Amino acid sequence: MSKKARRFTCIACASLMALGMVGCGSPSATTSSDDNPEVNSEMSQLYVSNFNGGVGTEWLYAARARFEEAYKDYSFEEGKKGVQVIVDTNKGLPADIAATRSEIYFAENVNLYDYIYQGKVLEITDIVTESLDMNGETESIEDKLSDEYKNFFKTPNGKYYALPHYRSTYALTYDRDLFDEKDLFIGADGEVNQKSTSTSLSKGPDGKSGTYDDGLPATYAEFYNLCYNMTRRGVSPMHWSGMYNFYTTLFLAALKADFEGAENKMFYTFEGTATKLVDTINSDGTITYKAPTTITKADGYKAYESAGTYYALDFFYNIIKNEYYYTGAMNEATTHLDAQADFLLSNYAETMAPIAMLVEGSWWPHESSSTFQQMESRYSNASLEERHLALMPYPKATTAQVGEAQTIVDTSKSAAFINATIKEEKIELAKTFMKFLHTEESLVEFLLQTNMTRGFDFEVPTDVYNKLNTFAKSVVDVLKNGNVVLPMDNSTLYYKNYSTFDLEQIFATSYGTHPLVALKKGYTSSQIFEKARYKFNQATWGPLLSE
Amino acid sequence: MNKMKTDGFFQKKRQKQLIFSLIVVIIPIIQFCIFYIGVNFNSILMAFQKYEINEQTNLGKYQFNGLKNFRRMFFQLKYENDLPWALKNSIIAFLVNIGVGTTLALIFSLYIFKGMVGSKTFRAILFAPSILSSIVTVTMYKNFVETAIPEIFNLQYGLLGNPDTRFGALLFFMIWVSFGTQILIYSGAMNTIDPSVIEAAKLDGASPLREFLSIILPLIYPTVTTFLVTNIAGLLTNQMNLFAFYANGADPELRTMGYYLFRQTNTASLAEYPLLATYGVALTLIAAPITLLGKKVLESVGPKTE
Repeated sequence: MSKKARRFTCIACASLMALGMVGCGSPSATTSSDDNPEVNSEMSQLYVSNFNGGVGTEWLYAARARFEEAYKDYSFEEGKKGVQVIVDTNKGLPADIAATRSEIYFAENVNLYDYIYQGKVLEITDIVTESLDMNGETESIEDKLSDEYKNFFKTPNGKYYALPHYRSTYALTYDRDLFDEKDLFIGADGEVNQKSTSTSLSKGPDGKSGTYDDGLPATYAEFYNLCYNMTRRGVSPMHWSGMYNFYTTLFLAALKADFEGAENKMFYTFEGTATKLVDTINSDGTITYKAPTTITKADGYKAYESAGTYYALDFFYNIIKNEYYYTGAMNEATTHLDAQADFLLSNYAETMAPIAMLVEGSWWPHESSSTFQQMESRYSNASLEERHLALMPYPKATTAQVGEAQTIVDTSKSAAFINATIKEEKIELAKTFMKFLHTEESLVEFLLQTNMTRGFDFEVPTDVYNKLNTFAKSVVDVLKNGNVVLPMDNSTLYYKNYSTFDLEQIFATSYGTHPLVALKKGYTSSQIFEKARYKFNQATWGPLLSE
Repeated sequence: MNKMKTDGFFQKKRQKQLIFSLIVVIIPIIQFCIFYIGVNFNSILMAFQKYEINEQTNLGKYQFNGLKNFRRMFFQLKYENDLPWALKNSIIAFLVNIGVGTTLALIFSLYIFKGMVGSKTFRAILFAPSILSSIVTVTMYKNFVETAIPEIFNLQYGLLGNPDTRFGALLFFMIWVSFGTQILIYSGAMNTIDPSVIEAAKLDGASPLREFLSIILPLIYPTVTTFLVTNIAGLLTNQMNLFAFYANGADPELRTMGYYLFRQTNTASLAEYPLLATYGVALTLIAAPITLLGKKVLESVGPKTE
């Protein structure tokens, strides 16, 4: 090799190695989006990063347009007038948000307290607790938070660093059109032979006539009967992603929470009185309960004996045993998108049985936008707006529970916050934008754009409700008639054992992380429950409390 | 005078060369210091720390914690079912890799080296998984074993869906994707063998098996040893492509130690890192002597070229 060639090779190698140094560069976009407007130096810029997942980014574009218009004559920085909101998108929060240009983050599946404890998130107690003073609204953002959200988002010393982004839950989506076509609504006499327009529908899980859930299964027993009738009429009752087992696991976690009600929170706080702990499971499947038991952090493992775990497992055991599912649900190559497409297209395909219900997160229609577009181009009345798809309220495990409010687990782990590295002169702008996004107008706009709600309590006006498609209406109905539980806590115990207490681990036993796997192996619900209830004991719990 | 001038010239030249060399190596050295020494040092340090949260300031920091993490680790090893499973699976994966993977890779390499029928196509097929992204390969494989196989053999579940066959299906995938690199290196090493040596063996009446065992294998043995030592070193870090198959959700009975640690790190909070770092240190303490011993044994017991 000539001397020149040697030098060239050396320099080339050194340059290649130097590429790694880009990581030490100045803040950049987390992931660039197609939203790259020319920066107007006469205006203030605000960089906002949004998780481009189940709720998309359209809601943010809509809010941005209103915000920029509302503050076009306002000066947030000396010598500048008006605002440019520049939207970046992310597919997960970077570990070091300080190295990004984004000043506000909308994130999901985030361990918020990791960021708080590292000082990466700006404290925003002032804008959360003071009056909004926008659009004539005088209440504070905190007033719109339920106690459940306050308890998590407020640190133990009473400070706010973040706000909830959106709410999502795992549930069954059912095809109302198919239910009508095949007379799958339940009549007052318990027979599965009605249409939604019938005047003699059963009362549904809320136990009241004339409400959103009429004709839907009130109990697990009614649900099994419905599935049985479906199979007899050539309908596949349920479908789910065979590839990602956590879909069914989190759906079962939702059923468990619905059974437990407020007591479900004990799995995260490990404080309270448990009234639904299993003493014995009788041969007929009924349960003998233990006397009410006080749960403390010191003996939190006792909460794992909850009957909710057994009932949820037994629900799925019956579904699997009776094969109330579409065959693709057992195929480990079936992604969540495949399952969605199967569910949507099964009504039109001649080669497959129509599928009545889909186990999914409540955001799924957005993920299926391309399937909806394809269907629209091929079939009439196939859009989300025209099809009648809806969330099914959870049936109750026992007849005694019919009439109790739904308990909904918000699984999104979402949060909205300001990056602590934001420049001093831009804090006012960022805080104003945050406040703006939490006005009722913005919350309603979010619902209209995404078919989902943010993690705040607000009344959906009737005219807005009437504008919603069937799916969005069902989301509003279910939430309105339920209590939301966050599967997280702001305690040190929870934080220090974050991965152990993760919701996905709630049914994990040595038989399988996911109940579906354990059931495939032939274990019964009782066997899995017996493993799950003793997952922790006094000896194994101790180290979780230690330093 | 002339000598002094010449000395000065060479001194300057040497200085320039030194500066040039320094400039060339300084960035890799800095990178090595930060991303290897720094990271590993921090990881070892973390094994002796805990994460403390100041509830007044809402800030957390790592503090010295003595040997408590090690105590907790031993406690987990005693009580947690996942870890013995993970250890057992790691050993199975290692033995299958060595026993089946390496043997087959040598046979396939020989096939290619001998230029037998379709050897080029064969090489392309075996090398394909190394070129494609692992997610693509995993998706193709999943569709094959979950859709095609049940269809052909009329099975209720696919090979991954069936609890009885899924670990085997994962082992098969691990072996299959490992062929590419091994075959490339082994057949490359075989190509460096002087053809006259093989010709001479043939003239002496050596059978193909004798030729392989007595000529080819001894000559490529240093290459084989390198692979085997790498495998031993990876005994406790091999994650058997489980993340590509299951993300964080692989079942306990499928997990290997490598996957266990990767998954835990992926889902942990900052407060859980010290315990994971402790596992890292402990596994290094186990793997390092085994690797050194394995190297020594392989070097002393292998076929000799004399």
